[in-house]
Amino acid sequence: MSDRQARLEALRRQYAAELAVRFAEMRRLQQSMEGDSAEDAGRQLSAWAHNLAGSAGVFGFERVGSLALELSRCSAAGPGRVDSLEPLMTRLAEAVAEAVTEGGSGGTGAG
Amino acid sequence: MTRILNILYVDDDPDIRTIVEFALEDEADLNLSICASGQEALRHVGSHHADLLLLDVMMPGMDGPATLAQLRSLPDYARTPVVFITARVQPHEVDRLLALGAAAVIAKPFDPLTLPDQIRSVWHEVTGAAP
Repeated sequence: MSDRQARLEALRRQYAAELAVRFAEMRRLQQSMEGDSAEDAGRQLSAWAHNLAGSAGVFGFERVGSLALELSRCSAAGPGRVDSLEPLMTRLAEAVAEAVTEGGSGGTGAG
Repeated sequence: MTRILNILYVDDDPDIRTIVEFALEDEADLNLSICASGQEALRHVGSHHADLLLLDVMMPGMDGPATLAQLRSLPDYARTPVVFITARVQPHEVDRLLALGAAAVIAKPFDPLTLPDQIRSVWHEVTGAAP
């Protein structure tokens, strides 16, 4: 592994290590998508999902990225969708768990 | 002597800023400046020159197109080539960005190891010159 690839792998591991915390915040926002704060929580969830969609694939976690992109579009559609988001959140949770495991074990690198 | 291409990159996402910095930091012909918002970019260009603008599209407050509109109002940046970088690359979204005058749209996810060549390629297409 070249020095450049090793540095990229280190960035990737660092990113993976933070994924679970991010997902926990997204879960919290999803569960807040009811009542008076539903619209604001939906907007925030969409923003978090958008950032995840943009970055996860760059670090080599394509499945997390594609599910996050889908989530950003669904959550931006408006409040009252907490139930319909659940299947997507479940799949994203699985993808995040895989990424955390893969990132912690070194993985294959981005690209 | 190789010309150095000064790139101004604007993105609110610290992870993407980190990976773009990683991607370009070892390239002797590419000099990268990074801003976390459109507002910061507007302040930055008051004291630094950029040959190429690399803009995230969706940012809170001033998004990429709004940042470009503000930069275009400055005489020094009226014609500076701009590349948008975005996860939303459906055809109508790309068409909208190209209609704003973008030289190219780079899709997220991109490969950090080939990003320097993507940027050089855009620069070459726009100017006919190597960086």
